[in-house]
Amino acid sequence: MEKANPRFSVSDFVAVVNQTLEYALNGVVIVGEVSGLRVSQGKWVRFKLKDDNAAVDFFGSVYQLKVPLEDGMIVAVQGRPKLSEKWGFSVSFQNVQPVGEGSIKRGFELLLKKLTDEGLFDEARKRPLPELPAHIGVISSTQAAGYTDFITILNERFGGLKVSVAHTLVQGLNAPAQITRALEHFNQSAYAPEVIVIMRGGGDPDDLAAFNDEGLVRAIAGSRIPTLVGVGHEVDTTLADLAADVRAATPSNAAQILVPDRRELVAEVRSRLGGVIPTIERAIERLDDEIRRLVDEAEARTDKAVKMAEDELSALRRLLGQFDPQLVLKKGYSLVRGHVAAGAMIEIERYKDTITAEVRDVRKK
Amino acid sequence: MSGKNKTIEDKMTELRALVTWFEQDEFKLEQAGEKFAQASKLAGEIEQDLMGLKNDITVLKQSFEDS
Repeated sequence: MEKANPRFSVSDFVAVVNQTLEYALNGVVIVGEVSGLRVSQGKWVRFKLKDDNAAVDFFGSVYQLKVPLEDGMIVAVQGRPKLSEKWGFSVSFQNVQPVGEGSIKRGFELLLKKLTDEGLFDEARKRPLPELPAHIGVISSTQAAGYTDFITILNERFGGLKVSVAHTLVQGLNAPAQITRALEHFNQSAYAPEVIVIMRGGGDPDDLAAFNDEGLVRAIAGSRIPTLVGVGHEVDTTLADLAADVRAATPSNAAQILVPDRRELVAEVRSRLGGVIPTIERAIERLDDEIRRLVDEAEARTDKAVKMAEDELSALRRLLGQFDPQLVLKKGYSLVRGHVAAGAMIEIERYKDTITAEVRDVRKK
Repeated sequence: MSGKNKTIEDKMTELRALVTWFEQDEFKLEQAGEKFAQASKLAGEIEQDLMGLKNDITVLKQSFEDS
């Protein structure tokens, strides 16, 4: 007996198709060229994705569109196929990312202009990172080479730090949402880190496209905690880099920016200590000079005192010589001793002899 | 960390103060030897502390995938 074909009402048919699509193609990613892009009421977005042989309608809200679109861009769209009772078949998009160098570049340029015009990358918004953060929040894939480089350099340069790592995807359509959630987690944490580092190593433009996601870029710019972003190689610039408080050229560079090198600190400590030795040497020299000066001064004063004493002595000697009675006698004067009265005997001392004589007469002058 | 629970920053502050003493008017040659020995010991401790510090790295258990 032939099996009867299932019969549905239109509504039931739509429900069954949606159930089937949800089961078979939930979260499917479709890649194609954007065409017929329309935004209505500033809220609803419609476009087609096409290739050489087919075109499919997409529908969603502007809030789900994290990268500005233009007709002609090649994008990867993650969404849910749906048959609408009123509008027919379309895919409700959740994520849209440009694919291929040209489209990524165009998407980057459009979003760069939009966010620059909003002042999101203004230098005035940038905050300094803490000088030596005791607690660091890291957002990266723990399997990424960039993460390993960062941890290696961080451990080499400094220690004693608490590092909380949020493991997330760092590429692909789901990466921006995961990184944004990790950012929110750190920002809402009771024991929040002092700085958040977001990083991944190098890759082609498709790999780094997650870091040009508008939602993620806004989340970085709006982070309460200062951010340091090191994505790709030195030549790569993403909008996440521009939104960060500080940009690192690479994950290794992020570690260098974040903490001082303990070997340099040790050298600085040694240099500080070495710096006091000349001070001690100078103090000893000053003391030595002072002692020498005092000794010289004492010697000079002693010499001067001796000289003065010698001079005085010779002056006194000269003076004393003038009072020598012999000198007077030598000049012909005589010294008379005895009672001078008529008939008395007196003694007359001259330079070379002494005379004893009798006084015959004494007359007053 | 060695040095009676003092942090590296505490010790650095102490070392800076000792070094500053050598540059200021309070400097006295009689005390310089003792102060220098104190500073040398402190510098050695800081060096040892710095080189011995290890980071505490924790990968969070939270999943950041779509809930």
